[in-house]
Amino acid sequence: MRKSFFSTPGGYISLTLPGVLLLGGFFIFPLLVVLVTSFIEGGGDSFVRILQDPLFYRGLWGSLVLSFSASFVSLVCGFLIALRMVKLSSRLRNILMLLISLPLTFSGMVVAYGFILTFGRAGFFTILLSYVGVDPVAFSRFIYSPVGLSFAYCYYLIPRVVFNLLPVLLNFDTRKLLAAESFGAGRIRQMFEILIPEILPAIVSAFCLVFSVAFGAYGTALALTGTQLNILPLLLYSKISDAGSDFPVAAALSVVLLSVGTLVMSAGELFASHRKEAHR
Amino acid sequence: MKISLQQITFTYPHTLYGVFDIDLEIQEGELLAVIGSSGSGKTTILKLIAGFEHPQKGTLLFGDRPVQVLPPSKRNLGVVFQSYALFPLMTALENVAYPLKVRGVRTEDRLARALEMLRRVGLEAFADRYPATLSGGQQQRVALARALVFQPNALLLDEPLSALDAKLRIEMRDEIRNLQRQNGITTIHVTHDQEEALSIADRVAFLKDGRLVQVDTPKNLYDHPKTIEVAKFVGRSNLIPVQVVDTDRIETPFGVLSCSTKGFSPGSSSTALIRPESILLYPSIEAAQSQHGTTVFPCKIIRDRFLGPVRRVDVEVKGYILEAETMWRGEIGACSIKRDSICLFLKTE
Amino acid sequence: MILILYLVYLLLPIALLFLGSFGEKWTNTLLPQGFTLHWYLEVASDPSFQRAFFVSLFVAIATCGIVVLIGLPMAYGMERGTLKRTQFFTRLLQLMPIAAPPMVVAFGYIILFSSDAFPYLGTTWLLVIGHVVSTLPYMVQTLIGDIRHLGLVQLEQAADSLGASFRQRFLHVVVPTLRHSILSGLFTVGALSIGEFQLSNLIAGFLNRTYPIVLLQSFYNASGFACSATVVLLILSIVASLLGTGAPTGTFGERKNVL
Repeated sequence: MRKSFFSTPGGYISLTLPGVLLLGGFFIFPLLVVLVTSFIEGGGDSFVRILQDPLFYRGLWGSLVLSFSASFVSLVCGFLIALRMVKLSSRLRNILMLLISLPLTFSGMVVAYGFILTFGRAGFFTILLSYVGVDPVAFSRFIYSPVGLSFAYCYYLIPRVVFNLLPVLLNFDTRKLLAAESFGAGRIRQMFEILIPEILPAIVSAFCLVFSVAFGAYGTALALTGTQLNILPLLLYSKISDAGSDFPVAAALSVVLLSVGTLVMSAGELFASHRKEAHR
Repeated sequence: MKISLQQITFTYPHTLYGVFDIDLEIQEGELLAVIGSSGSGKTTILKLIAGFEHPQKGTLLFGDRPVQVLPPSKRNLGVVFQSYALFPLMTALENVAYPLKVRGVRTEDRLARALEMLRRVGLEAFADRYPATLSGGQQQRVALARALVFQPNALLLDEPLSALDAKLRIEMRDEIRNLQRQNGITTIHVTHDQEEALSIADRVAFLKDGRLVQVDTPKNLYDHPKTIEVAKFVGRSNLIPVQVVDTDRIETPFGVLSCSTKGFSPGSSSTALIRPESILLYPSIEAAQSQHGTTVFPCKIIRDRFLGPVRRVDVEVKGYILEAETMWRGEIGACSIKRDSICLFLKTE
Repeated sequence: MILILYLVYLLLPIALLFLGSFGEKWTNTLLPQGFTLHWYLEVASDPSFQRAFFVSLFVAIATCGIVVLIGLPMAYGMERGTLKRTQFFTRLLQLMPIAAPPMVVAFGYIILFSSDAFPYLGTTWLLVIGHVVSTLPYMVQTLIGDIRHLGLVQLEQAADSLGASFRQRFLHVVVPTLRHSILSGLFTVGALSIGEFQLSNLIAGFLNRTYPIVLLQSFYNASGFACSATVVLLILSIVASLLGTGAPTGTFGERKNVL
């Protein structure tokens, strides 16, 4: 009597085939097609053309500023929130997790309109600020700039940071901080010399994760600013949606977006796994 | 059913861990305990017999039938897992009836047989409870009932008692032994608890680094361990560096002891094993000499632990410290060592 | 303190959306004025919203169905396959959709499926496949997490040793044990699919635009109308995601989001 097929390692792996084929055909293959288009079609000079376009540099700069500020602010807020949540009872923590997880499934459109109502030109918060003398026009100009827009991006990114850091912080043995305290270290020293170095891999990978998400997203930005804002995803969007669009240039832009995302994610992963091995 | 392992070798993929050249025979109706420290390969042996892993080399026989290629579901073995592995969405009764269900036994029959089995482990009142609502000991009994209900060829127990508290563990030991006897079923019991192994097994196999070191009755394993590792693992021990003087005497750091040195040449160095309970303790030299004759040493208590039935003391004999156990509750001033309780090893450390 | 500030930031936009949807008029005031339900009636009677609502619902349900049919065997196979690099592949699967922006994938679809060989751009089925591809990693990840968390491999070994065949193990042990995870994963997949904008916006045809796409057009209408149209989507997401996390699996997976 032979073993049944599905109990063999090969049998188990064959169960993954439908999923692997689907992802191969409708995720990897389209990306390859974009790659090929960017290099081959349109005379192969598409990268040269985007490099000569001043809009590309402005978009790249805008994207870097937006993603960096959004991820940095999210990281700091998310870290502090997670740190505070560690001290809560597990019941309260679970309720909070439920609330915090809500934005992760929200449509970009919901958040966009919520932000228009709250921080827009006639938004609730903008009007509140005008009572204390802040000019609504100046404020809304700030809100619709790359740095200001990062404020809206945080809405999605903070939950991701919290979800990545909270388990690590919950596992952290706080007695180590008590030990440091007994040697005379203050709160700030404890945090920067004991806690942060130890959870640095998680912090770095959370940062890289939210950076990539922010770098490639366009939905919220499109809803809030149309295509006015100079960021790469919107530049690509207008190139794709324009009638008679220039596919090779759009493909080249896509490849830039894709490579930045992939590079940042891999850097984060590499750093995290490297540190894990060094501590083994 | 007799189980034979012949030259079985298995290594986990991409590691050096595994078991090597295992030759082991478990007789019909025998209870064999497999002991060793963690990572010694004892659970691996169980997995190989159960069919969760497959040996790279060697033959596994059930009776006279080679079974290496059979999947676990065709081996007809009752396995009890360390974490019990009860199905959380089935009641105790459904769990016990499950092996009968997959064997196509009719509903009434299988429920009746499962209930009878639960009765034998004392849990008929809990038949409709889900595993999560049962205590550790009750879950253990359900797991045992489930492993026995289909009259398997053999019972495989993987550290079944390690999750229970000390008192329950001792009760369950006897219960496992009783069930095993009643059913006359060949049983392999993997445990890291040497006392558990000694107390219930017909024979005990000691593993180290994936190799069998000694397979013997509990008594022999304790009294005549083959190597220092076995001596250290099974029971408590004093291991003393000694020099062989002649055919009848050894020189220890605290004086000369008489003991048989068969197999050792005079002048060679060796390690002597002296179990704590074979060090006899007396209030004074005189009292000792009146009972024991010549080889008596004055000693002083360094540490004294009262354990209830016995007292475990560390005594200093001429600057050397020995661990001894005694039921004597009075003063201690001298000790002697029984001649035939000393066991010599070739020096390996 | 930081928690309270954060909760205000988190909940204020949601609260304002609800308030605005019931407000008769809201221009340059702190809060809307008057109370009315007519914005909701207007959204409900708007033909393009009606159509978009049912397209989204259909796409979400079809996505859920396909994701579970493909995701369950995939997660199970990956976890049981004793592959040397399972850990690596799981992580890769989880990171792929984040590293590759949905817009780039959508652009790939545009190039591929506007060709004469595969003229499928704008079909509902392509939309469904796009949603399946972007939510499948999430489902697989949830299931793999729970397969480990619930000790499924050992339960299965137990069933195996008791004599159960592969089919019996799968039906008696694997599926019942994972039913909460499957359900919870499905609700979240549904929530993600209903809210998905970045991919759909580029590959949907005019007649099968999904709800979020039509919603974007309404932002230029009166604020009450836009609010109530947004609230409809908001409620769908909240309900699905509460049902998703409410299913008692005990694990909070990391979610994929659609910015």
